[in-house]
Amino acid sequence: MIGIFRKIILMSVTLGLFAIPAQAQTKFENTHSLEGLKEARVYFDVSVKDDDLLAVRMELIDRTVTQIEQAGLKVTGVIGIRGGASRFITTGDSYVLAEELDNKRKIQQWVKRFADWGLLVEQCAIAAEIFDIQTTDFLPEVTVVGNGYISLVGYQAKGYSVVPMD
Amino acid sequence: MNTKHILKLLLLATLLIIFSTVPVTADEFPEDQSNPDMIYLRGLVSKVSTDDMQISVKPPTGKSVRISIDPDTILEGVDNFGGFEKEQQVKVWYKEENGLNRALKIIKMMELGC
Repeated sequence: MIGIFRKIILMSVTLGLFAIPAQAQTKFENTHSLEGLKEARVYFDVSVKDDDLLAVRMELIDRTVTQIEQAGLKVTGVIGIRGGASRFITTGDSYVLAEELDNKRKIQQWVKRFADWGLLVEQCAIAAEIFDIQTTDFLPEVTVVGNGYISLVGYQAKGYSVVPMD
Repeated sequence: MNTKHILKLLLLATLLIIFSTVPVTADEFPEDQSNPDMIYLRGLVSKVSTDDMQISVKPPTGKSVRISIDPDTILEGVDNFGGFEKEQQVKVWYKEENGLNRALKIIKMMELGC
């Protein structure tokens, strides 16, 4: 019962996001924060395990990257996947429940699209081990790294801004 | 009966006692594998049926397996049956008995962010 309520709330939030008129979306800008910048280095730290939330997070990554580019900046981005999110970036229908399958397919499409845009999609090998996922089962667009936390440290040291998506 | 024989008997008795009282150890549940006595399964809890004390576990590929839990089932990571929820990662060792998959041991895996 709680699960149904959660899904209803999530769907409402998602629909609400899309219900915002385009005019309203472009009404607000980030001029002050982006002033003087030519490039944005972003590390999206994705660990959310709920399939509905993860699908929404993918759309928010899309929107964020798109809006930064529309503001005239070049985006250099990494999407770091760890935790429960790892199950959804594998090939085929494996590692998820039947009711999660629709969202898994959407997430797979997002990953392919992000890779096409030149974003690097990294998967933590420790998470794969914890969730008993064969590293060969990850989507071909995904690069498996030894330790997602080290990636976080490294990219931050290189000036990437971390956007938490948990 | 000389001292030598008595010592041999004592040694034999000691060995018998030791081997007959060895407690059930982790070896009884082979790490991440089946053996002739039990079947190992790892996957996600796909259904919890409180009425018949069963959970369904879906392996990475393939269909869910229905597992019956009874008072003898060893549980780790949860205190009791009520601790099971959908989408939890579990390791199960079970045995087929009377048409049921009787759980011998279930470990609910920790949910780590990494």
